[in-house]
Amino acid sequence: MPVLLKFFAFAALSLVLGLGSAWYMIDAGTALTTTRFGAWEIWHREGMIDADPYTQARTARSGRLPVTTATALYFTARHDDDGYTLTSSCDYEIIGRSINSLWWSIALYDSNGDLIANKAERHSFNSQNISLQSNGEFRIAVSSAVKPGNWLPSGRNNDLILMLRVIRPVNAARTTRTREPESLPQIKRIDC
Amino acid sequence: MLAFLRQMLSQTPWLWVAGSICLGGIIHILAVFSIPLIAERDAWGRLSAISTVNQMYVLPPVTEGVAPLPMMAPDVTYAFCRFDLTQQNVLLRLVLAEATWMVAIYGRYGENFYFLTGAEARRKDLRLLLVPRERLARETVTEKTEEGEEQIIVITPSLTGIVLVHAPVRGKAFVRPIIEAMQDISCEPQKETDAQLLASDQDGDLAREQRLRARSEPRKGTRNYR
Repeated sequence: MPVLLKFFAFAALSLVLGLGSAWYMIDAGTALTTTRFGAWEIWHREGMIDADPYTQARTARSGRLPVTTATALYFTARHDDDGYTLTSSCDYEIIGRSINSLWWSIALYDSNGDLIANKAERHSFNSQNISLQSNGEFRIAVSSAVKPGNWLPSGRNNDLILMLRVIRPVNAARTTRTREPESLPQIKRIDC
Repeated sequence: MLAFLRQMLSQTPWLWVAGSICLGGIIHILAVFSIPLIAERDAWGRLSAISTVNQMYVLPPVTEGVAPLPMMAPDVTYAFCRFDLTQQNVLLRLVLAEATWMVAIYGRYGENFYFLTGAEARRKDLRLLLVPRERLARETVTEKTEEGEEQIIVITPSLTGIVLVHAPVRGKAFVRPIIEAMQDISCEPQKETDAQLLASDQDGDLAREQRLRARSEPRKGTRNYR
């Protein structure tokens, strides 16, 4: 193999390895930086002053201002409980119980992190306005078609992101360190 | 097939491959560490486009296409201030009207170093004085002002950063009163105390007079971001 060809192959391989692995670890995360609870994922040092370089890079790249995970937890879900990508082509049901915290909220976004336009102007439910069932459970329908009760319109032709914010959770340390979430909501696919 | 693979492996320049892996590792480290420094669309960059420093802005409710930062909570009303402590400390006066109202203070790169909720605050009306760590040793700041007002001293790790006030909203009907309540929040450079003014005799009478005049000017209010 001529030396020049080897040099170009060497440079290309280095760039692909270096930038590709950096992009993957910042965008998708690994076990070093994230923890999964079913469909939900959390960056466990997000917003912290001594966060690892991958989490710092992610925060800068995202443009978000997360509160430190010592006081608030931000869980995101891009998949349902069976691992399929959340999409507006399908109907989902989020089933859970009120989370023991100062305040919590579940909001729906498209894959760019933008709110989804809908006539009901409904984008989220939180601990102050969600309707609970008599057994203390809540159910949120995520669907492009109108649903009774807690309904989050998912629009059309969107991949979806759900974000669960929990402010001052009672067991934040246990959730992020020992991987025992109190009981995060389930995301069930109902129909496609 | 096996023979082909053997031939490929025997002809692979393994030294070059090993070199690529090493160089790839260096590129990886440089990329990860440089992103916070070069990212133009981080929170500071995005908010810089719509604000000046040391001024509080109350944001309208987050809707589709109207959100200065990505993935903001649609059921929270926000107010923010980009602070710059290069010249002076910054005084933040805010009201945490309900238990769920929160104030979070970040460094320049989005690192959250202070957080307080209405549930934890001893009183609703708060006075927070932001003082950079590097200046703390040569300044006399106390938790009581000359006027006897209580203040919380927040030591900041950097000279610039962002204050973000969150006020969760129960429903649309609550948005207007929350925005009105947030208009009372202010973020401005600290005015010099009488003691500091007397101590600055070496600056001359003219400079002292200018500072006294500036001190007597009315406080700037908040601005709505549109």
